[in-house]
Amino acid sequence: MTAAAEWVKLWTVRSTWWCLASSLVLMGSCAFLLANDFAYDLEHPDEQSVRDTVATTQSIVEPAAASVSLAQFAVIALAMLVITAEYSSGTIRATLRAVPVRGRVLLAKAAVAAAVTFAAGLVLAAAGLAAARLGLRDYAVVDAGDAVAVALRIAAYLALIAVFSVGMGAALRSAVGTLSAVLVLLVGLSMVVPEPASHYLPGVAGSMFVADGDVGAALILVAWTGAVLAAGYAVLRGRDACPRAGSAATGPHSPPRELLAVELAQRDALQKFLPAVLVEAEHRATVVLAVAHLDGGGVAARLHTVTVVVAARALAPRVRQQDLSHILRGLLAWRTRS
Amino acid sequence: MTITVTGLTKRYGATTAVHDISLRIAPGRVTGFLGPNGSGKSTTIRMVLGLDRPTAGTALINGKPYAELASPLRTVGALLDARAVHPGRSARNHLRAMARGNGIPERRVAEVLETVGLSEVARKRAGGFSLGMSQRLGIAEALLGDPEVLIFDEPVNGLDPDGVRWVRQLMRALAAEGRTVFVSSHLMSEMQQTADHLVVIGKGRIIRDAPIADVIAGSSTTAVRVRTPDAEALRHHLAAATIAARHTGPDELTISGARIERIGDIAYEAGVRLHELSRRDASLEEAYLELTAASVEYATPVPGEAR
Repeated sequence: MTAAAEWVKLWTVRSTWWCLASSLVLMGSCAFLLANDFAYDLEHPDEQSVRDTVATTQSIVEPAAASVSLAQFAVIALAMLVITAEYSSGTIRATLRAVPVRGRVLLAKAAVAAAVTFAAGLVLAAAGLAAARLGLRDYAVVDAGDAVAVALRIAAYLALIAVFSVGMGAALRSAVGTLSAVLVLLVGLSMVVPEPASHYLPGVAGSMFVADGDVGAALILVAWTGAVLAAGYAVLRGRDACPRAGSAATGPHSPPRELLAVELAQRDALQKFLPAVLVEAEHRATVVLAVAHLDGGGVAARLHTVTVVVAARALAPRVRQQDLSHILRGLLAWRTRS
Repeated sequence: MTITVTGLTKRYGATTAVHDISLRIAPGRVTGFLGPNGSGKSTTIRMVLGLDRPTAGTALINGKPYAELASPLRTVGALLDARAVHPGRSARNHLRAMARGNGIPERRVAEVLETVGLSEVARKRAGGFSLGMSQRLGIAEALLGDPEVLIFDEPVNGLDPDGVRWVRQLMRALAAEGRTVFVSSHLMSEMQQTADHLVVIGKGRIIRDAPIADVIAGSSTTAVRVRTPDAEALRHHLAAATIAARHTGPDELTISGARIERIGDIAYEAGVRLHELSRRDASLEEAYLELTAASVEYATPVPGEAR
C-alpha cells in the first residue's frame, strides 16, 4: 500500500519525466560522442593529438558503460527528489501521517526508486549501446551476450545508486546537501584518494562493476548503499518530521540559487588547486544547474540546461579548457542574473 | 474516539515549548484549542499526530499511539499547514497518493474535492492555488478517510467570510455526527461561535480546560450593570455589604463578584431608585485576554511554533 502511494507520487510530478528524459539524452549523446571520437581518431591519424590505445576496433559495450558516469546524475536527481522534494514542499508531514511507521516509508521510497531506475537503466543501456554502435561505425564489435550483461549491470548499478541517493536524502533532507554529498562520494573523493584505497569508494567501485562485472566491487557498492540507507532510517526515526515549521517556508524555488552558490564555490576551489579536474568540475556545475531547474525552473530553462549539459560534454574533448571555462562562466553569470 | 494526552512535554534544548500538559478530548463536541502565537498549540498537535517526538509523556488516540494505528487516515484526519503539498502535483493526484497509502477507495477523492468545492481545479497544480484554496485542499485531505477524529490547526486562515462560515458549519456538523473535533485557533471570536469546550494554552501550559460557557462565566469581567440617579449613595450601601462597585458613567455603576439578585435587594432596602439592573457577559475575547495576560507578558519565541 505504501509503495503504491509512493508510485503515484513519483509519476505525478513533472521532475520525474524531466530526469528520465535528461538521462536518456545524456546517455545517448555521451555514448555516441565517445564512440565517434574513437572512430574519428582512426579515420584521421594525422590529426590525432593524444591516443591512449592502439586498438583498431572497440566493443559497443565500452562507450555505453563509460557514459553511465554522466547519465547517472539525472538518475540521482530523480531518486533524491523522491524524498528531498517532500521536505522542501512539506509533503513529508502528509506522508508520515498516512504511514507513521518510518521504516516502511523509507523502504517504499527506496523500492519505488530502485524499480523505476532499474527499468530506466535497461532502456538507457539499450540507448547507449545503440548510440555507441552508430558512433563506432565500421570499428564496432557487437556481442549480444556482452551487451545484455552490461545492460543488466548498468541497470543494477543505477538502482543501487538510486537507493543510495534516497538514503542520503533521508539523512540530509535538503536537495543541496544531498546532491553535494552524493557528488563528493561518487566523484569528488575519487580524485583525491590514492589508488588502492579509492577502490573502496562507491563511485570507483560502481564504475569497476559496470565495466567489468567485478563482484567484489559490487559488494562494496551494496555495503555503501546499505550504510547510507541505515543512516537515513536513523535520522527519519530519530528526528522530528518538522523541527521548525518555518523551514518549509522558503519553498521549492530557493534550492536552485543555493545550489548554484555552493557549486560555484566548489568549482572555483577545484579550478585553483586541481587544473586537471577542471572539465569534470564544469560538468558538475552544469549537471547541478540541470537539477536545480528540475526542482523549480520553467520549461524553457530546463530545455536550455539540458542543451548546455550536452554541449559541455560535446565541447570538452575538443575545446581548450580555458575556452570551455569561459563559455560556461558566461552562461552561469547569465543564469545568476536572470 | 477520545484523544488522551498525559504529561506531554516537548523541549528544544533549553526552551520548553510544551510543559507537562494533560488533556482528554471527547467525541461529539468541538474542542477549541486557544492560545497566543508560540504557546505550543502546533507542537502539541504534531506530537499527537506522531510527527514530533515528545520529550516526555504520551498522546493516545482511542488508547493507541498514532504510529500504531492500522490505517491512520481512516482514524484521524488532520489539517496542519495548508501549503504542504508539492507545488507541481495536482490536487487530485495528491489526494490519490494519500488514499492509496491507506486503502481508501479512489472515489473518495472526487467526493471530498466536491465537498470542499475544488472539483473545478482538481487537475490544476497545487502550486498555483491561493491560500484559501490550499486550505480547502487541506480540509479535503483531512476528510479523505472519513475519520472519527479530526484535528484542524488554524483552519480558517486565509479563507474569505463565506469560507469561514462554511468551515464553522462543517466542524459543527462533524461533531454532531459524534466525531471528535479538535480545532486550534488564535481567533477568539471564531471559537465562541464554534467550540463547545475550550482548552486555553499559554507558554506551553494549560491555563483553562472547561466548557466554553464556564470560561465566559468564570471571567471577572462578567459583571452587573446598574443605572441609577443615586449612584454614589448605592455605591456606599454596596460598600457596607463589602461589594465593590465602580463608576462607569455619570449614573452608572459596574459591579463584579456579586449576584444580581443581591444587588437588587440591597438597592430595595436602601430605597435607591434603579433605572436599569442588567448582567453583562464577558466576551470570550475578554475572558481569553484575561487568562493569557500572564503568559504573553514575558512571551519569548518558542521554536517550532512559527505560526
